[in-house]
Amino acid sequence: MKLHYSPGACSVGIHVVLEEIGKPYELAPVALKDGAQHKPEYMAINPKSKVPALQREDGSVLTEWPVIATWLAKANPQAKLMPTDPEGEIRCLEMMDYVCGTIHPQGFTRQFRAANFTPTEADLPKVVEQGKALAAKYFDTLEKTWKGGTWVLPSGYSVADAALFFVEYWATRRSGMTLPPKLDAHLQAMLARPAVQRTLQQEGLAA
Amino acid sequence: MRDNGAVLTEYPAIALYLATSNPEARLLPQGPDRLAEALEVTDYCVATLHMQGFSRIFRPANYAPSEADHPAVKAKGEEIFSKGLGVVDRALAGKDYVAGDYSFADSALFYVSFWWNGRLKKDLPANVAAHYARMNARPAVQRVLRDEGLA
Repeated sequence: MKLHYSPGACSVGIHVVLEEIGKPYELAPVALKDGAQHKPEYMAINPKSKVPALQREDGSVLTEWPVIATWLAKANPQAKLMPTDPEGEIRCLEMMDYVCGTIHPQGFTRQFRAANFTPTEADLPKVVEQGKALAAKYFDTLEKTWKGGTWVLPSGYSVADAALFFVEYWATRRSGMTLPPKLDAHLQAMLARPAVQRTLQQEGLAA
Repeated sequence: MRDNGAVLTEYPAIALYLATSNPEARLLPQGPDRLAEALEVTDYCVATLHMQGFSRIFRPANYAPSEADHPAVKAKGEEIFSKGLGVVDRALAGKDYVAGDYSFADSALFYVSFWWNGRLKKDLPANVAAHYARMNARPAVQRVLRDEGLA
């Protein structure tokens, strides 16, 4: 099994999931800075030109963060990374979809790739500010609707925590944002996990 | 909103919930690989084709603060959508439906096809066009379009 990733990209969350599972896997870096994701070599693996992409034992490639996480969790029930009851499973997917479909692209992509939003250089700071404001609003929503304890789901630790982790990490390490209390406690709890520490070390990221 | 009053959000989660809790409707692919296939396409239609592509076309002001840039934003939306649709088209080769048999994933591809072809009058690639025609022939789809005043 091979994870196509870029250090510090949202693939870091899937990397955490793989470390939590603890079975052997390979890492294949994709140099997003050099535009490697748009080159034929990578597009042959993932025509969507993004990371993460998971190449499985049978050679097939799986894409879309929440789907990769769901598949890994279901293929490794011993790791207990996803609730097995229908309600728990669906709430887990709901959370991953919100992080990956809304918080990341609406909040953070505006901050990291503002030029994807506007062609006018003078407007780039406005796009970045809008991204920060949106991210703060989304975090506020999560804080207010938090149903879990330390972990985001009431059932305990899950792949949803790895999703929330990467936007919390970006918010505090890249955007200079302050997280609301429950999310801040969640980030600290994630950083204390050996699987997260191994992931950050492997990717050369600050703890 | 469900019978117990709890509200579920996020398209893919809602679709999976409905499929799982109504097994007689046979909308849930069997096995983790078919399920992953269905979720993968649903996710891509919703988060990329819709939310990256169409949202730029329909609401350019959400992207670029200067009105003069709106045509460029729309053009980028169209590029994202049409490239993405190409990816889905290739994945549909040899299949009638997204995950082989009909599933909850097909109506996700349907709605973005409807926006592209039904609303914007643009051409769909061959496999997606065949899928769209198949969907339009389904009585459930016809009822929905009628109910929503879209027929």
